[in-house]
Amino acid sequence: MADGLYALVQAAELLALPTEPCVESKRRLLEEFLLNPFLDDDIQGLALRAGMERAAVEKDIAELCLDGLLKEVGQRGYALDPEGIGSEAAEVVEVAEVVEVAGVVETTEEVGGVEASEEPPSQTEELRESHPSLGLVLLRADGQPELVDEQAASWLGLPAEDLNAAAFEAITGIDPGLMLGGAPKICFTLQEPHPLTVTLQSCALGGESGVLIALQDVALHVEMAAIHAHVQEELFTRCRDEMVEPMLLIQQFLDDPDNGDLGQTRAALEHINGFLEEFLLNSPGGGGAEAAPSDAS
Amino acid sequence: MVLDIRHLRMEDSAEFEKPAMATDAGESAEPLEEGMEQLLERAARGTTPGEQAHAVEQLRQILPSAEGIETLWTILDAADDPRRLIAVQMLGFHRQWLSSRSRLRQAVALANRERDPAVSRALVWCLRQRSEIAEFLQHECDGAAREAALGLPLNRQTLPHLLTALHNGCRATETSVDRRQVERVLLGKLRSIHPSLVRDLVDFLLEKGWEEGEERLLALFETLPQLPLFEIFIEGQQLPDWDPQQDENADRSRVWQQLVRAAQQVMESGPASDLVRHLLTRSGEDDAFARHHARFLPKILRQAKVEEGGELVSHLERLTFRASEDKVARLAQLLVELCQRLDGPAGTQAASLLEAWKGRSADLRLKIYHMQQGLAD
Repeated sequence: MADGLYALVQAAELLALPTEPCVESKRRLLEEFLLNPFLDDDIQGLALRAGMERAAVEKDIAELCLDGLLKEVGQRGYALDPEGIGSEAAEVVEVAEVVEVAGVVETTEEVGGVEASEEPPSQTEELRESHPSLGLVLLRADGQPELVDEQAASWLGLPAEDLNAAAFEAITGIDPGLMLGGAPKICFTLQEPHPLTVTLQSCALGGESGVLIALQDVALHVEMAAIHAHVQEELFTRCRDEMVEPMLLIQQFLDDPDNGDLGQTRAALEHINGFLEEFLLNSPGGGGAEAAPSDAS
Repeated sequence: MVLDIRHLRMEDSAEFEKPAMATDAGESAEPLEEGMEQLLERAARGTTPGEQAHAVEQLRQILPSAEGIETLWTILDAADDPRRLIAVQMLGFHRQWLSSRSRLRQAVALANRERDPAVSRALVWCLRQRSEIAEFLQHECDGAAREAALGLPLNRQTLPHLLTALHNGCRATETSVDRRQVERVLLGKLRSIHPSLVRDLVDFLLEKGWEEGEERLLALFETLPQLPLFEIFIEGQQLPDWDPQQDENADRSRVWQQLVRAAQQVMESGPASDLVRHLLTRSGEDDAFARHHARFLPKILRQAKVEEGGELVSHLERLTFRASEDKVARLAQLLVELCQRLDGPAGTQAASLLEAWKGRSADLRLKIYHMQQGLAD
């Protein structure tokens, strides 16, 4: 039971990876219960087991209970909550179906103990739309793929059939085999062949070790960042052209008013005011002129 | 007499088909065991995780009869039965079979020869808090070794296994993440070691030696209670059957010196609060003790945790309540040392106490003044 369920819950967590990096400690605790659902450790035992401080375990366990994944049993023990796990699993089945819709190439009949549905229900389309920027790859310990999302393969510039550990390493320079020893999660960005955030994490696949690779499309972020940089650059250039020289004239006048040209200084000030009105002081309704300092004076 | 309400709890979880429970009553053993087997089947091969989790919940609530336990062992013996993992985990949860020596031996033997890592790990988990688990600390399966470390009871029987595992773990050239976890868990266990076992630990180290360098030894000693370390290594309360001054075995003398250095370093770099309080108490009571450890005590006080300063000053205040001038003078030297490191409320408290002591007599006032000026012996 544990292995299938474990893989499913991990897959669900994977979706949350880009937004919830703090889930790691809770995942470790939940993992212990998924590996052995008969576990009867108290908080102290769980702290020793997970290598965490007692207070942190107390907090995480309380949150897992609130999430409906664990529940208190007896005086000091905890166990998986069938109700919560049931609903969680239902969600994950839907996620698995999303992956199916996305065009998953499966090398085995089962994914995490749940058979992929042949005809995805319409609800899965909605879920697929809600996670359009995520691709998944599951690799076995021997480096061969257990599951490959076609989206992920295309982002890496390969046909789904050719994507394995060696191909991944050739593209990214990171050997997924490094994760097999239970190494901490690795997260890095990739610019070529497609802008991506890549997260590698060890996982269990049918009682053996495996590697989960989550790819998040960041092309839009990169484009937005480029536009932002361009706008900023343009603004700075205009500032330099429109403000630096007039400011210099004003400064010269203030340093030596007797020899300065008042008219030229006033013109410089009005030039600056005009620029500020254009960029910063104009209200959406076009009432910027009223707020300009020159008008006020 | 206690009312058995287990069946009431079972009725609460009515979503899935309720199997008959196995009880010790033995009135209808056959259908009851059948129910348990159904649950095992569901837990192992249920179609949804929710169904599996429900089955596990009911298996946790069941109190298996002798026949039920027998069934679980039978499943465990069948090499290709998919329910083996769940069966062994259930055996680990309902451990009444541990009262049988033959079953215990069987579990140990099975854990030794089991090929499936998950089952092997679960079998070792079954033996938690039993001394027999110690032999799995160096099991080839990392998961089993980790369970052995987690379930290890600390006593005279298991301590040598623990130290050997730590020693050999350090020696491994390629230590996996799981092996490092085993080491972490074992060091964590040592933090709660009973003080009386420290002497046994030292005895073992003297016998076997420590070849893995000072750093590892320091990591080991940092987990131990410091009071027994002080008594053994600093105060010279020797091991019962051995006197380092008389020993002709050069190797053992070398190890002894190595251990003394490590213990001293650990205490001087981070003295525990109970050690500091003990030293203050003994110094106040015993002039010979204070003289004997005249160099060691200031070193300890210089490293005492500043956040515990207020507590230590209060402890000194209690120790000197209606005390003789000699005792106050001895403790004043230590308080002056401590005072140099304290600020804030604790520093003010320490300064006030010194002023109060100065007011006891002109002689004491002069002595404390000299101590503060660094003029005392």
